This record gives sequence, structure tokens and C-alpha cells, in this order.
Amino acid sequence: MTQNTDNAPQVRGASGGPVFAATRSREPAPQNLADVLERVLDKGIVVVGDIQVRLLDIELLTIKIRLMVASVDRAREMGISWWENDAFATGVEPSGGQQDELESRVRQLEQKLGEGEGQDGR
Amino acid sequence: MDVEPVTVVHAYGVVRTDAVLDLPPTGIGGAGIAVLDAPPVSAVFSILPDRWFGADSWRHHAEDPEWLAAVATEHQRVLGALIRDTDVLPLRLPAMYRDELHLREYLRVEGPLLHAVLESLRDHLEWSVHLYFVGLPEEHTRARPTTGADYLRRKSRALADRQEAQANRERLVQNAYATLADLSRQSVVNRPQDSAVSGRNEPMLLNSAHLVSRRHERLFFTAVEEAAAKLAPNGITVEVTGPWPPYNFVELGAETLAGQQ
Repeated sequence: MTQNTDNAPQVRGASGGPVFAATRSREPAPQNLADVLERVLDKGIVVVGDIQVRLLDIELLTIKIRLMVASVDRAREMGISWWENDAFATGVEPSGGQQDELESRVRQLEQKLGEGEGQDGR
Repeated sequence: MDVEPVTVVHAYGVVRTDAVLDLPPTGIGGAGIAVLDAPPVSAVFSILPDRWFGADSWRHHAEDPEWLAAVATEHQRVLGALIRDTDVLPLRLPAMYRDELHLREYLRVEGPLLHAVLESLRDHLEWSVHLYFVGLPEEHTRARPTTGADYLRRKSRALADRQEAQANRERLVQNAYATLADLSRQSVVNRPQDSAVSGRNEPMLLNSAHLVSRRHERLFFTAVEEAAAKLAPNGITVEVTGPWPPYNFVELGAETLAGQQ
């Protein structure tokens, strides 16, 4: 159901008014990738699941992203078929040194997390 | 019989079991989306191929921005659809379980706490406010200085003007934040975003998140427009993004959960 309701904030940047990068319409609004990443990877409820994978901290990720993301638009364009032509689908392994460094960093973070979870509170 | 897992359960968020949901047709990687009930809470999840989205994939792609950006965008797309109709507790990535039984166990154990948080955030959504310094139009070039003393006088006046303008901007930004925070249930200031990721070259003066009642959105937007009108003459533009699930206002992590009871 597509419907641009009257209360949809309008994009009004040029005149000095606020820019609303979202709408109240029924269509998903395009959202800033930086907004998505800082939330999805750094905020929200941390699941205490049976599979624990820790990411690098968001600051380090941001630096990597600065180096590697060609453009915000390109990432958006990837859409849901991004995984079809992604490197991992073709079985490309990361280089050894980088992987070791990454794993040791992940282990450190896991250890840090483990200390916080000493008791499960139940 | 011990076999390698072929699928993994990816959880997007937690809702009340009695919530009315309008599930998007597809989730990450085009997978279907389902709901697992463990009253009083339920989880919205997808079953994904382990070889593409399992723990090994996450480790493999832990610093692969394109992969992370794509998964994060899909995760948020699902949550973005859910928040139109109900309150959702967003899960931070990676949010993975071996199977539905393990996810159900998580919901069973943490259900009371998750439900309490859902209740406390009832009918509230998160909005993001970004202030950028876009600068002012170039000043008219005045007549060239006639003497050395005149030149130095102008230099020192220009410096004083710049310092005053900067102090003025800081005050304006603080006032704008305070005004919006007044209309929000809670507010937080986050680190300014990296321009490479935000796609904006102008300096970011404020990156804040606001927890706003659905009923007060109009008031909030009006305040944003008023703030923008005050800031524009000083070379500052306002950008609002949202609505978001309350990512910035659910401080439930391993430590928090362990600390309860």
C-alpha cells in the first residue's frame, strides 16, 4: 500500500528549512547508511545467544568503512541480491595475517565480554 | 547423530506477543520472515543458510564494510517495516541462534525483562537529528587596505569575528538540542558521523537521537522547523532521519541482563 499521507514531512533543504530524510508514508524511507550502521552494529539489545560472534568496535569499523565503501549509493544499490556476487560466495579466503590479527582482536573482545557475563543472573 | 548445521536463526527484534504485525515478505538474503511466540514476548526472525550468514560468515566478514552494510541495511529494513504498527526492541547484530529452540529459550528466560522494556517504551519511536555547518555566503570584498596598520586592524577584527561566530554557533546548537530534548522522553548525543559514511562533507555539529512519543511527533517536527529557521542564518542546516526503532534507548546487553535479579 503506497500512500503519501498529508503529515509526511517534506524535503525542504534549499530554503534553509529542515531536511527530513524520512517520511510517514507506507514505503520504506531511504535512510542514511551511517545512521543504520551506528545503530545496528553499535546499539540495540545485545543478544546473549548460543552463538557468540563479536564484531570489531564501531570506531574501527568506521575507519574500515571510510577506506572501503566506494559510496553510500553503491551500498544502497546492492539491494537484496548483494550476496550473489559477493566474494565470500565464491569462497575467497581472507589473507592469513589479517585474519590472525582479527581473530586475536575478537578473542580479546570475547574475553572482555565473558568477564561481564561471569554469572548469568539466574 | 552429529551433523553440521545448514541453517541459522537470525533474530531481528522482539515484540509483544499480542502485537498486530504486518510482516514484510522477505528479510535478509530474500529469506522469509516468521514470528516465534514465547508469551508475553515474541521474536521476529528468518532462517538463513549457515554457510552465508552463520558464525563463520560473520567472522569472515567482521571487517568487510560492504557485507556488513548490506546485512545491516536489510536488518533495519525489516525493523523499519515493523515499527509502523507496533513497538519493537531492535537487536544488535550479529543476533544469531542455532535453531528456534535456542531462540525460544532466550525469550523464555529474558521474557519478563524484555516485556518490561517494551512496556516502558510503549508508543515511542526514535528520531535522529543532525546539524551541519554549511557555511555562509562569501562576504563582499571590501576596499583593499591602504596602510599596514589598517591591514592588521582588519586581520584582528576578522579573527575576533570568526571566534565570536563559532561561540555563537556552539550556543545555538546547544539551545536547539535542549529545545528538542524538552519534547523528547529521552535524548542522547552521539559522536559525529564520519563523512565517508554519511556522504556529507560539511562538519557535523550535532548527532543526536531522541525518543519521541508517537503522539508528540507533530510537536517535535514543529520544534525542528523552528530550530532550523533560527539556525539557517548562521550557516547551519538541520537534517532529521527516522523513525527508527529505539536503538539508542534499549541499553540491554550482556552486563545489564546479568545484573538483573
